[in-house]
Amino acid sequence: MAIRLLKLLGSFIATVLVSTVVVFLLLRVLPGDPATVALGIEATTEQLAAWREQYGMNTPLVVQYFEWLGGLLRGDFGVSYVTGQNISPVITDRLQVTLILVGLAMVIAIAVAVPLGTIAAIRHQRPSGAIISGVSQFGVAVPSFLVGMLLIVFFAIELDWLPSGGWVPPSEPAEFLQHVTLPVIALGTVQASILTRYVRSAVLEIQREDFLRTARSKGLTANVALVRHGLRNAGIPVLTVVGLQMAGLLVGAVVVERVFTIPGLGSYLVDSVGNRDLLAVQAVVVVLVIAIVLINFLVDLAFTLLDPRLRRAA
Amino acid sequence: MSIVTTTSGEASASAPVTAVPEPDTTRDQGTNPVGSSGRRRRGPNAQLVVGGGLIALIALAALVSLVWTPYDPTHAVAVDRLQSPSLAHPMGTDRYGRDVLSGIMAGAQITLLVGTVSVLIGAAIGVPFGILAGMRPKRLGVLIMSGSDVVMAFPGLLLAIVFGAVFGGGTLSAMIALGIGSAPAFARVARSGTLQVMSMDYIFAARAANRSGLAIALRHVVPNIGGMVIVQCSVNFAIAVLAEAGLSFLGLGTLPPTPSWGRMLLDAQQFLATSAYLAIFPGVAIALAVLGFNLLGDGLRDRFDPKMRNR
Repeated sequence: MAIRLLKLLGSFIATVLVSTVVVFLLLRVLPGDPATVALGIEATTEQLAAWREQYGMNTPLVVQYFEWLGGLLRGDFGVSYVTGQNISPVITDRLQVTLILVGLAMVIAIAVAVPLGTIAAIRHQRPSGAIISGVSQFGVAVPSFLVGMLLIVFFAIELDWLPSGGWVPPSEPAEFLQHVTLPVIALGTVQASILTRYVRSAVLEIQREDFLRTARSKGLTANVALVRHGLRNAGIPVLTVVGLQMAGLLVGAVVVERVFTIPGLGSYLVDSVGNRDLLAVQAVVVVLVIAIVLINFLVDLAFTLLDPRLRRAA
Repeated sequence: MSIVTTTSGEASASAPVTAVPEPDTTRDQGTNPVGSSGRRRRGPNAQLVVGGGLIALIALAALVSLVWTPYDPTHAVAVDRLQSPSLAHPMGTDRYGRDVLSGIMAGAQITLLVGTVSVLIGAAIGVPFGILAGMRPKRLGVLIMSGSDVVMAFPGLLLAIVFGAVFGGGTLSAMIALGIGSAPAFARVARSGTLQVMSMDYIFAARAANRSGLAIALRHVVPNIGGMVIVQCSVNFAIAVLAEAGLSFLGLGTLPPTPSWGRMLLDAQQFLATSAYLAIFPGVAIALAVLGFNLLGDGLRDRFDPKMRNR
């Protein structure tokens, strides 16, 4: 078991390191000169040289990478050459907003999907099961930003119950809840549709397992056998999907953040792309990539620890 | 998206969870290879028919728009701006007086183009590497799948945003980014299928007959994993449609004046209070396209994979 966990950890660290190299190279091997991009075509040669000196762009690429990596390890992403702001505190603030959105959306998705998916599986040959499957099939196809826009039309414009956008921190709970409700529903609805289909599939799979037949042969009803023995086993692949959904949402939330003008990490990324603020783009991308690799690692870890077959194999 | 096992056997994802067909949580755990030999001769199922019908409708709109649209989708007519749906303009007009129906018909071209090219790029990169990883599962296979893990850390949408920063936004960079982002999904599906094929008796026979690795791959592996790859194409097409719409909504996908559904939604955002139809029609078009490809994927999987029948 320990060797397997060490292998997973080694793979995680290696993937993170290679990913940082990819991010670094993607944004350093630009068509054109970053100094000219930052200062404009009217900048003098002296200004361009001074800029390169200031941002360490005149050293070899390998040196630049290790300096950047060192900063990354210290949590120092440098100073934006467009806004002049220190990038690290901006990323910390924005990441908190995105994590709150993604976390709440997943809570809603799980709360909706687990019961609905289970019912859809238990009643898969009845109309109620078919209706849940059909609705979730359609829900998967609807982009979350469209759901967000429709929610704005009904709840913010027509009914005037909730604000159409903006962000208030959780320190003001009432205002926070008002502002966060629609974006979280927009993100959560689509994720719930996806998860419902996985829960249904996992429960259907479990229902065919021998251990469930054995449980029923001991006198348990189908539902009791499923609750006592089935759902725990069905939970393993579902937990995996939840982790993967969270990784996907970290990036996917960017579009919903734009719909509701929420100052999250995705919005910062898109603004930075628009401003050609490449240091900020690099910082956001590397944070997102590390978060995704970390979530994938935790999913693998959970899978190893929770699945008895893998545990035994280890 | 399908859950697949990584090189070391643990579960991982083959694509971002954004558009999914009926999940198959056991795909890598011993199902038989699928393909021509595994197909049963049956009539088309409902998912294939509905999904295929929706895609045919979108393809028809795209084809017709090449030669005819009710109005020029890029031509602004100031006096016709923001007209509600009517006989003259069945889906209304936008803030520049452009006909929304014409825009949606022409936008179907971009949707199909981005989906097709990105899927082709993803398959062209992922399938050969996946087959190689399956045929040489030890060192080379581990190396390839580790590389795939790295690419997987860059979801298509994120990669497309980065490409937007580096090369500027646009349909081409979006297609390339989404294609590269989808390659790991193809690699994993191809590797999984290849591993199963390589354990078959006819492979031992082919090896005994001194067939080269390339000959085995072309003659035995490719035909037998074709079904899996086709299903993955459908899944990734749906993902690409959603991602392109999202990118265009962010202003990093298809650039104006070329009509795109995501861009139409972006333009609609500031008129939600007065002209919600501007968001509804392109939104429904996106949803139907994604639904069509997801249903097609489900239908194909149902047809190719014996374990998915009777669900």
